[in-house]
Amino acid sequence: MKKFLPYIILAVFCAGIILFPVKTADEVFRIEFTGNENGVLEGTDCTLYYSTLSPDAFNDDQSISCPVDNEKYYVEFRLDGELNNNIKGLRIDFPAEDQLFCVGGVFVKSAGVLKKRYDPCVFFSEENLKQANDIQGVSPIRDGKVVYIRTGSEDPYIVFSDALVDDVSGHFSHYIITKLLICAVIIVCFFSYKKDIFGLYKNGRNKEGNIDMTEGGEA
Amino acid sequence: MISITKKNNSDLFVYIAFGFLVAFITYTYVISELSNGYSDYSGHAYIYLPYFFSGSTLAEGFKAVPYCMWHLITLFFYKVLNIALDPSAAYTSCIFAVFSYGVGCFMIDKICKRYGAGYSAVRTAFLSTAFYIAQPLYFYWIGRGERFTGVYSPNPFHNPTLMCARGFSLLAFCLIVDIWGVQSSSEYKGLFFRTEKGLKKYYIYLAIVLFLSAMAKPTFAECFIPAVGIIMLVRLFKAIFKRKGKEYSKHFLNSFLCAVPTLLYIFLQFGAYFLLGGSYGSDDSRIIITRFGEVWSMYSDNIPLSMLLGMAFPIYMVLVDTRFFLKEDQGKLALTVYGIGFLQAMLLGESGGKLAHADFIWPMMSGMLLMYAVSLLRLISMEAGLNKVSDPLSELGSVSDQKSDLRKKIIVAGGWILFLSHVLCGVLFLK
Repeated sequence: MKKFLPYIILAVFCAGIILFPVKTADEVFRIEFTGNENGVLEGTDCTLYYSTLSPDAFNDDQSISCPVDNEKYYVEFRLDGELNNNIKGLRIDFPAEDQLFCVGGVFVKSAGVLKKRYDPCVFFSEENLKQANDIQGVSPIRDGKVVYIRTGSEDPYIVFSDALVDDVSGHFSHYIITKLLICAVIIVCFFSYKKDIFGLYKNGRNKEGNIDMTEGGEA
Repeated sequence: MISITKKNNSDLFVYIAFGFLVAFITYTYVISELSNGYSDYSGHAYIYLPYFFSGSTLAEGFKAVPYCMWHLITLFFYKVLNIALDPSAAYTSCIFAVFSYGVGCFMIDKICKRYGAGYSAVRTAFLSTAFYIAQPLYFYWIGRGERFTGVYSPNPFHNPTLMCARGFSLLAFCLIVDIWGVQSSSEYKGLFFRTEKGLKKYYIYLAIVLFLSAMAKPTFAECFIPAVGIIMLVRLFKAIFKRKGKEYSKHFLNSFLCAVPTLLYIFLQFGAYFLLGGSYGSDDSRIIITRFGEVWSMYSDNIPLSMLLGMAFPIYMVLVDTRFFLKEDQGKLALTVYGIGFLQAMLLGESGGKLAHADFIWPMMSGMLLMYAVSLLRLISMEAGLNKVSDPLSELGSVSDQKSDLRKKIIVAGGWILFLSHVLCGVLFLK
């Protein structure tokens, strides 16, 4: 029994880490714009509206604004972890400017890890757009995997289809892989300590356990 | 005799050449940072430095920036030598960069000599430069996306004061390792210093180096002194248990006395900072205990992932040689310093608007520096051990021995690949 005790403690410790309750990670939804002269987005900010089970409507209380920063070439929206399994609809409002811009990438991240990268041509394809208001044109360039969007100056926004919303909002992380990695580190350390691959501990150490630095010491 | 002198001269040339490279890298980086109004360099050079002159007194300057070594030397270049402010700031950083590069060379050289690694001057100088440049691993699709957001570095180039303390931190580490060695065995032969003639002068050196590190930035001393204290306290209890407490308590007291001037100076700094209204003019700022990881979470979506990116090389070394980091003085000290720095990062903050400044992350970065240093030294000693094993006679060994050698070679190669990946990220960062 004594022989197995370290293994039992290790197993319990790892189980504790895996079962330890942590808050669901936020999900980051990012749209990247290409930086060429026709692609840069003008305006002050973009806003992402989300509808939930209750209320199932877009309103200002359920919106996230992101300032347009053309040094970064992207807008990013952080959906709180508490919205996991609760998002029913997504609507993105572009700046009210008569302009043409180019979307070069769309991706979703959670817990600092890229969860899904969308092809902008697919993301902004007709079947994924439930409603488009004051959007004068969406032109995919499939070879370059970019999409050009022309907006008007009234109230340009896009409401995404239910299927796409389910897909986008289904990537909230529960830190499972992170927890498994922490356990892996602990387990490897445990066995590394037991195995002592480089063996210096057995050879050339003094009684205190330090490398024997005295004259004639092996190390 | 002539050939030895020639070799020494060429070695010296190599060390100096790499030193110039380090100075050049630092100079160009500092000058570019000074043109960015939001950079730490601009803050220290254009906002905090003028507290020391332009109608203010030195006391006011000290109140605003109590860790004023970088500022005073910059002030010397600026006011006494009449050099423009930007180059003055860059020259100051260059001096400390070359100093810490020199300490790195010294450490690597001593380890090589001890373990018979037989490194040339080029290799030693290159490794010390690489160690100075190494940065966290960076993939734009991992983490917050912006470079180094939430992923911290052992060499935070962007901060003049922590880089100023770097060389003193490494020297303090070398000194305590040798002091502990002599304390544990009178026959101990110094790893970094000649300790045969006693420890008295090394205690004095340690006190001076610690004090200078606190003068540059107190964050290293804030985690180094508690770490040394905890380890020595445990040893003291063990010694008492073995009825050798009286003998060890002398060592404990001597080591503690080395820390007293630094501790007093840190208390003075904290007083100026938090009681006299320094703290960059923030009157309501005080130290608070935060929720676990509250401050770091502001900048990282996944703290373990950020740690992995920042510390991939040391974590790898801990994984492959856990025993070294738990049993060996060097490894134990580095791990404890990092642990204390990590706890400070996770639990401490400043109240009010300064919570987001994340000022208690700095001690963890000092811990990261020691973890990198110890991991690099350990990797060198592992490689040296491997080369000794790989003599022609080992071919006569069993198949299992050869397999074991191959496994060790793969582990050492993996260590170098990871270390150089950090260096590559550093080069890309500086580019």
